[in-house]
Amino acid sequence: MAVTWKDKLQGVIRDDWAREIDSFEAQIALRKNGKIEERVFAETRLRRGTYGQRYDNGQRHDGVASQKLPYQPLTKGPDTMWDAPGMQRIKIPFGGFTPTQMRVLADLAEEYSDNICHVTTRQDIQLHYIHIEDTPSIFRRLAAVGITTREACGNSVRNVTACPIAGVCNTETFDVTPYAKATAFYLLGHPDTQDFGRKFKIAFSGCKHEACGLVSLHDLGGIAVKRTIDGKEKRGFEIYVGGGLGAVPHQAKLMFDFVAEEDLLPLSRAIGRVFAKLGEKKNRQKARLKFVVQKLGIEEFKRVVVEEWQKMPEDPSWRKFFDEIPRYEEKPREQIVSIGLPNKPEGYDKWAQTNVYRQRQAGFATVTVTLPLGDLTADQMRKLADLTHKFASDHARTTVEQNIVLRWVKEEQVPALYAELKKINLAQPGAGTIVDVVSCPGTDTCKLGIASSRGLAGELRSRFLAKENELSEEVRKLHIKISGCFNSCGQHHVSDIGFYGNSRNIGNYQVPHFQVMIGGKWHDNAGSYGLAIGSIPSKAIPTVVNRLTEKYVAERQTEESFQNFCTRLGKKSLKTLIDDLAKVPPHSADASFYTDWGDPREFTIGDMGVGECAGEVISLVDFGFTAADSEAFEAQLLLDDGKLHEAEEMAYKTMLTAAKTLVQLQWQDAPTDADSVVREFKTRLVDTKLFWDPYHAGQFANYLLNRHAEGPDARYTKDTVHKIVEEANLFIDAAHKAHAKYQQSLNLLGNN
Amino acid sequence: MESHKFAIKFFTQSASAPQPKEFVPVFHHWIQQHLIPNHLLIDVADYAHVPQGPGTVLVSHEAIFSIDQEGGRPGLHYFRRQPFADAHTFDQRLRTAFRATLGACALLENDPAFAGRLKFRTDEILFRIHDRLLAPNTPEVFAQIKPQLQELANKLLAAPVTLEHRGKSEDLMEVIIRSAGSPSVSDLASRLG
Repeated sequence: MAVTWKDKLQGVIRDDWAREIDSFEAQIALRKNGKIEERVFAETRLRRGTYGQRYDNGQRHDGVASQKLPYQPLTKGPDTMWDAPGMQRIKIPFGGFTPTQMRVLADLAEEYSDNICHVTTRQDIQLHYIHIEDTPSIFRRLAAVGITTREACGNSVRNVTACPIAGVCNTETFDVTPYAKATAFYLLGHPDTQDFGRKFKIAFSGCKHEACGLVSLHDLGGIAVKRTIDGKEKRGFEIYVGGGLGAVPHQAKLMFDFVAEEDLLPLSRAIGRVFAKLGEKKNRQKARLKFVVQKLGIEEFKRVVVEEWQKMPEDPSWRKFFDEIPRYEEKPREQIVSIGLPNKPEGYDKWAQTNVYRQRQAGFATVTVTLPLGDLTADQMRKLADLTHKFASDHARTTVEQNIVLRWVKEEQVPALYAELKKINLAQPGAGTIVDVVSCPGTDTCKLGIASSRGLAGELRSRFLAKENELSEEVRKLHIKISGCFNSCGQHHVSDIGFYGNSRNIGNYQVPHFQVMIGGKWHDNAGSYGLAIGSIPSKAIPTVVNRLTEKYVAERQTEESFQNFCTRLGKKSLKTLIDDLAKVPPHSADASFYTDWGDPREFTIGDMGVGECAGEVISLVDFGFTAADSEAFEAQLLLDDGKLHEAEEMAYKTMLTAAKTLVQLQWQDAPTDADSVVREFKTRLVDTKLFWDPYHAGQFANYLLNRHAEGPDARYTKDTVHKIVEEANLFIDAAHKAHAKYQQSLNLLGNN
Repeated sequence: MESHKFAIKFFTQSASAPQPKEFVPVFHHWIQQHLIPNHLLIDVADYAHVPQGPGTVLVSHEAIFSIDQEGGRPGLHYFRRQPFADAHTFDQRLRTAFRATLGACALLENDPAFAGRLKFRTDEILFRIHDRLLAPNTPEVFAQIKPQLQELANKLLAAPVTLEHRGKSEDLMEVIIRSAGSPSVSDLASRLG
């Protein structure tokens, strides 16, 4: 039998992550055997960042007609074919990664994907066209270098983001990096963040007035502040809640103007618990935290959170993460040695203007590597890893503008770094300027995409590059962000000029359009959202950009920002400027309007699928039973492999998991150690005869009770272990029946 | 050799080869007409904005075809991702992968969109195995695959052939197949049978 990554990385991956991946692999096998419901499997894979991709429902419009893609009938979620390639999102907390991690990402892109690593608007890395069967190997290779994809999607705490120049910034209050890291890992897999009705996004900023971490558009955000308390300076955070973009954008509201650093993690947990309790579970359109905050009002929300904070069971584990914070340190590898400025390579000055940031630490710079549309090849990623090691003391971060920054570069070595970046085609100037267009994947790969955001972004970028030398300074400073639909993954609301895709029916045709948004504020942590001024055919959008920027240059008052310019002229006036562009020529006159950028097929929205971003709302009971099922499956595999001790232990664990699931139905915060689980199981389920069979009485319960009380059968023969593996399966069946009985009793109570 | 994750690249003959974007409608047409046998063609991805990247990509369930621009040397790149249904030995898998690659090359050469502007060289062929687990880039693995690769190359090119093992240990297994002659892709395809 061929060696596997599981064999090869044995002992390299931390135990809990290795167990999770083994369990996911078992769930893949169970799904293939039809033993897990597709909805449960969908949410299971989504919580590991394994998404569906466009056309995964087995239908694709080829420009002439909708064709069926003849996949095998197995599904990996509702209307999601097993064999259809998907997207793997990889969480990179605060965007920070090491050269070793970068090299593994490059290897994965090369071996499982289309050779491209894509940086997202939330500092993740995405690989596209991934086969579900490859995901356990991908997870193991990532876990071996300290990366987990757990909760990269689904109704969970998503990647915790932070300002990419945190720690080296000239204006920050303090470095928020270790706080972002602590929050990310404290909440990762935390029991109180497993029962959300929707995703939950967190960001940290070191400055209030820069764009920084874009706190205003997050469910929970912290901006670093300091206070003097009892004569001592204390670190803490302004805490904002209930922000979010999407179809109904909300600015986050200030909840606390100062939360001491030691309260950050418990408060985050309390907010998570309130979201789990009060957040909508059925209507996903209303399920984000912003709707809870809106419904209750910020004061009531705050009261509810504080009440929860005070009464929630103690969870001392936060201390471990908090105690790591002072130990976090990022520094250059060696003492700076001045060697004087070497000759500047051609193009250096222009590049340095936009791509080099002088750090707070004298003599060091942070260099932005501009990535067109957030993409780089595996080879570029690998070579960038080498440069990160050579020039940046191993410190690189992804940015929400879909670039990568290298930190701690000695100023005198920046020209040499530029020369090296040039060799790998990564020395494009214009970081953070109008050329550096940001875009979500849109119709390229996203199931929800309506119009081609990447196609438009590529087109605008090419046009700006072609006339780069003609762009005035004020235009160069503008930001353009594009989303393929109203869900706002391209963050179009917080851009000077933003677009989101929609469609219009013209005669018998559909025509790709983009809604034009103007005047969104990027700085002040995404301080305000833009105004919609009209939907324009996709092919006329470059003209929209020309007209808006030309008018800005012509009529701008001294030092007037684009936001102020838009406010002064007003929505009506700016709409008038582009109104004529809304007209679509007849198909017979210009068929190009009826196709999208970069896609020659006649445009249709018939390929849109059901988005998976919202995840599947699966109850904790379903998850618990699925985990027990997969443990039972693993126990069987271990038994088959002759690993009798491990199989016996796994069978026992299976019963504990099923019992714990039932106990938590009645007591969410029940302790999870084996003694407590068994005690509570006996009291709440066995003594009450909920876990009780009309023919076998308490026999199934006794499988667990006896094993727990007496320990394993010390003979460890194939027969004795086989017996307990069988018992574990029977125990799961009985647990399902007990759950049904419990539900029935609740319904009866409800009916009364 | 248990891996199936072969990649084969045939380079274009001249620098005046069509630009990657020109392949977008061609690949869409292939999907419409199901032009690649034994491949479930799914979608086209445009990476023209990535310098020396995969150019234009045609995704199928079984493999990824791309107009790869790596090293500034465009070519048709075939990357097999799924096991071969009826090819069990290394030799059978090699032949199947070459057959698919040559078939795609021939289709492109004959596509009216390129009107004779596109020809592939056959005097230099890139062969890789995208599988660091089962085919690490070591002299041992090269020694293991060389005899059958050499035999197939000899048959295909019908001329003296050299195999050059390249790259560092952390890279993919990579072999350059070189020959003195450069027969047409259709000749190669016919020799493959």
